[in-house]
Amino acid sequence: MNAKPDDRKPLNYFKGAILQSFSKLGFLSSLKGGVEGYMMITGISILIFFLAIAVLAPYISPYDPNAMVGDPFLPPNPKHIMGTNQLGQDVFSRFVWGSRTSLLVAGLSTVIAFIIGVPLGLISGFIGGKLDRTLSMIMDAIYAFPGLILAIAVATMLGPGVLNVAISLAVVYAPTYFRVIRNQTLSVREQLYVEAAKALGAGRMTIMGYYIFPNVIPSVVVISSLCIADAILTAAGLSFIGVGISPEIPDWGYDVSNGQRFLTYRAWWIITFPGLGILLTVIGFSLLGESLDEILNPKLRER
Amino acid sequence: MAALKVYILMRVILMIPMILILLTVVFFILRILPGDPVRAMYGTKIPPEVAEELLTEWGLNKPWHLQYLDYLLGLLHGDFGISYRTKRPVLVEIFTYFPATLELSIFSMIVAIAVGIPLGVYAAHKRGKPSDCLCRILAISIYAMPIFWLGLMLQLMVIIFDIPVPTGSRISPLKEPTHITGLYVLDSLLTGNIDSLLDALLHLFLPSITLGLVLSGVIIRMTRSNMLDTLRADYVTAARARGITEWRVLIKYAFRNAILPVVTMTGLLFALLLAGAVLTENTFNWPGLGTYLVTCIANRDYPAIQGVITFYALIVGFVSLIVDIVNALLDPRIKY
Repeated sequence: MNAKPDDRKPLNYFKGAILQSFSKLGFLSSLKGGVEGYMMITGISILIFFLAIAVLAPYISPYDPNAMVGDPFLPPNPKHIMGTNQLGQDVFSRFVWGSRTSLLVAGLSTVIAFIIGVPLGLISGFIGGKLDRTLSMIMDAIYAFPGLILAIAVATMLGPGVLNVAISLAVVYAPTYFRVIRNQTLSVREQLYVEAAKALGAGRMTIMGYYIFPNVIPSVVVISSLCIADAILTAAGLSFIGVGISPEIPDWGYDVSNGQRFLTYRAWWIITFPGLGILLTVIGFSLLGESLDEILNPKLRER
Repeated sequence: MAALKVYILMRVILMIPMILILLTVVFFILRILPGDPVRAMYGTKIPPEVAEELLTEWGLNKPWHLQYLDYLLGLLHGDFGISYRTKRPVLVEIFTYFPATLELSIFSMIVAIAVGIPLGVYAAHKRGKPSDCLCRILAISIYAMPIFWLGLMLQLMVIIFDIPVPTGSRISPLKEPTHITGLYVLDSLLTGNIDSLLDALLHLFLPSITLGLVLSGVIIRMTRSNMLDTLRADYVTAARARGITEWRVLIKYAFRNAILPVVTMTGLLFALLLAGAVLTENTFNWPGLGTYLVTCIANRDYPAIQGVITFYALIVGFVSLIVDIVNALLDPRIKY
């Protein structure tokens, strides 16, 4: 293997991309009417908030989320700031622990979808031919299918559990990674530096790993943020329908589903807070993804 | 026109592998993934010989390629299997529940378009102004809203403020119109039954607003970005230069061209609509396909689950065909 210039190493590339986006961010927010900076800051703040309560859950939550700690159906009061549910569990403690479940499932599913989608997309785009056509057709078929329904089918077969739900979500989102990476690879492989590498006698793996991968990976940053947002919603939908994570793990979607039976008692606090949790985390990831998209793809900034 | 006919024919032929792939994916997910329908249905304490017998009866202990062949041949005959739970053919069950889903989808689409397109046009018109920002924030928040939660919040409001709007089911008892199409609104119109028409519309109100609002988030964004593209086009500048009023420029010149690419996105919207309908139906006890699917899941009724998922796959394939044909009709530049 020949000596490679430093900036072709993925890690250095990332450093560069991040620094670049931050410098652009500063530039944008100083512009009049540049909303992307504010969008990003809002998104990141929301995410830091939820990440913090997820990590610090054992210290923040006043009670055990699964224990009966008060009378059932207590409205919000100083002892239980979000009230208690029908089992006398503290809604606030369940809210705090629920953020952990939600982020864990979404993060895990993204990692799995990434591991499936990215290498397949690289190989498919780079090698082309029959393999590319077959893989693309399969992925397009999965992509066209309504995500939640596909996830329901997989989750039903796999049964409850954090990992199983993450796998069902990964099946839904892997085609998105595949498509983006494949299309990027198709254009990057025609670049002169790839040709130069080929002329120097670099093998396929070297070209894919060192020349194409670092150049297609930035587009993944944006879609993974948007995919996580979507995955949180889909995971909540799975829990709502009853094919999600097992009930003993605090989970926002399950809590909303559980609270719907007590609407007629006007027990609004049981469903409102976990629902807000889902809404805010999804908004956080969407804002981050959208602003990154507009900052990293300057051609679209006009929109 | 001849070219168009060839295109449509090619597209119909190309639909076959697409549907085949969808069906294969469905088959693999439902049959190859771990999960034992017999034990899931009757519990783990079922005697092994009984379990074996049931597996043979359901054709589940054959090698998987034979099962796959059985599955595809069955579908060719319109055989979606027999429900374990009700012992009725799954296809019959699907067709009793599907009209409810279709009715909800149509009305939600109306709400989504009525809310989404004006807001999208308005946001593009006011580009960069605070009201544009507000529309974009609205679109993102609506999209981020868990649809079942939105539905429950609306129900909560109805309960707290005592608004006389039903929060569940499709129609009040004893008010069903004579069965013609299964779409209650259409049926009551056809039979001139005003009483059930009003009742059906009242029951549709909350579910279609819930689903429609969530879908409108996507429509706002699509309309806005397409409008921004067309508003920058030369013919719009030319129209403005000729002194045509801004309103006419927006509607007659920009909007008509902006709406074309939206048709392409209908496939994506449709997938969102189907998935959203599953959650909306379960929130409002709407007796549609989504509610049926969840009932089947709760009862581990595998042939029915498989049938419903297969049915969804067929709809998705069919809709993508329609979208492509409509696109070809609208845009003469599309060539196969």
